[in-house]
Amino acid sequence: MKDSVPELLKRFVRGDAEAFAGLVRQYQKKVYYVAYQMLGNHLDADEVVQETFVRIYRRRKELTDVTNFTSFLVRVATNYAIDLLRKQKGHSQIDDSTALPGETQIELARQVRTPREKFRDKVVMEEIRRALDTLPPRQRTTALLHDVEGYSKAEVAEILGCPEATVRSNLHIARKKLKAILKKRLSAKE
Amino acid sequence: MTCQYFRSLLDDFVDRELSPPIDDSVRAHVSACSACRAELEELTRLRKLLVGMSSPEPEPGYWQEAADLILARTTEAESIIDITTQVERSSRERASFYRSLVAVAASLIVFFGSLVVGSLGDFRDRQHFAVSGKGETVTLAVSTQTPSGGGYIAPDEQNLIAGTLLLVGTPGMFASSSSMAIALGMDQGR
Repeated sequence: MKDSVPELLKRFVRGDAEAFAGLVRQYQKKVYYVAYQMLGNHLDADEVVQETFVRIYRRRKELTDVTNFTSFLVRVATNYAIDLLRKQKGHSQIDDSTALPGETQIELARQVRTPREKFRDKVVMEEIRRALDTLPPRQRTTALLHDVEGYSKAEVAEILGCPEATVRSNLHIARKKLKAILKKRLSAKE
Repeated sequence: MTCQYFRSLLDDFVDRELSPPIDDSVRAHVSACSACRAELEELTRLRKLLVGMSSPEPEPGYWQEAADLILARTTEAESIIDITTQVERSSRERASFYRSLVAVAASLIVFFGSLVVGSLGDFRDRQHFAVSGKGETVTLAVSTQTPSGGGYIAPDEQNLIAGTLLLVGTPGMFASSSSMAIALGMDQGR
């Protein structure tokens, strides 16, 4: 029978390597998807996954005080991803056309869609991603966690370690900026 | 109430976070106000686009590979560190043991050296008395007898010094219980 998360956590804090392996298996997808949304490519998302769990492992003694492991984990992951974003901003930005194949980024591709629709979805995805890239890291992370990943405002506040009012304000500003950038797309009738 | 008031509520409206009476009032306002309705439609489309964003599934086998790598970097790395620490500690203990051994050997050399010097002193004394007894020249007696200076140390003093040096040298041997453990062959279990 699979151990529950609190049970795995207890054993992990005591130094049980098997429990840690269980936590990695259970949470790596969540970390990967958040990281991918923030960074937009597999290599960086993979780096975030690796570093997040290595950091969690090193900080396992702190887990005794953690009430919400998911938030704690996502916080470690987003902090690392924000650091990566800031570092990348410092360097010349990678041209999106050199990123991994865009068509793989579309969930709708799983449905039966015509090539024309697939192409349009890809273009839309790229457009949104470019728009998100223009936001400062905190606003981008807030919009991604809330609107894309579906975390509540309270959860986002816990993950980012800020008041809920800040999340509301960041989300409002992020949406306003995205609306301005995607104005043409948003006003087009489907 | 003004459009500005209702527009400030639109974020929470699309997130379905308003209480039923306020939600109803926004609904009523946007059905009557075309500008606010357009604003709401834009926001709803943006929300839909963001919700539709998803991360692609990585290559098959990635999750297992990533988990293995994380475990290699954490639990296995820790056991390597443990082994390294143990080896380092063991070599430190061995070095300490050899230092103690050298100290004891040096003490013994000084001790026996002092005994030899002491016996030579006794011999000189005996020679002096023997010479004096025979009534030969005073010059010979002066050259062999140096009672209070010139490096002459009385046998009792010599024994005292040698004993002290032996005591000073040996604590190094007993200072480290691990050295004793090695000396007594009790270190095999580790």
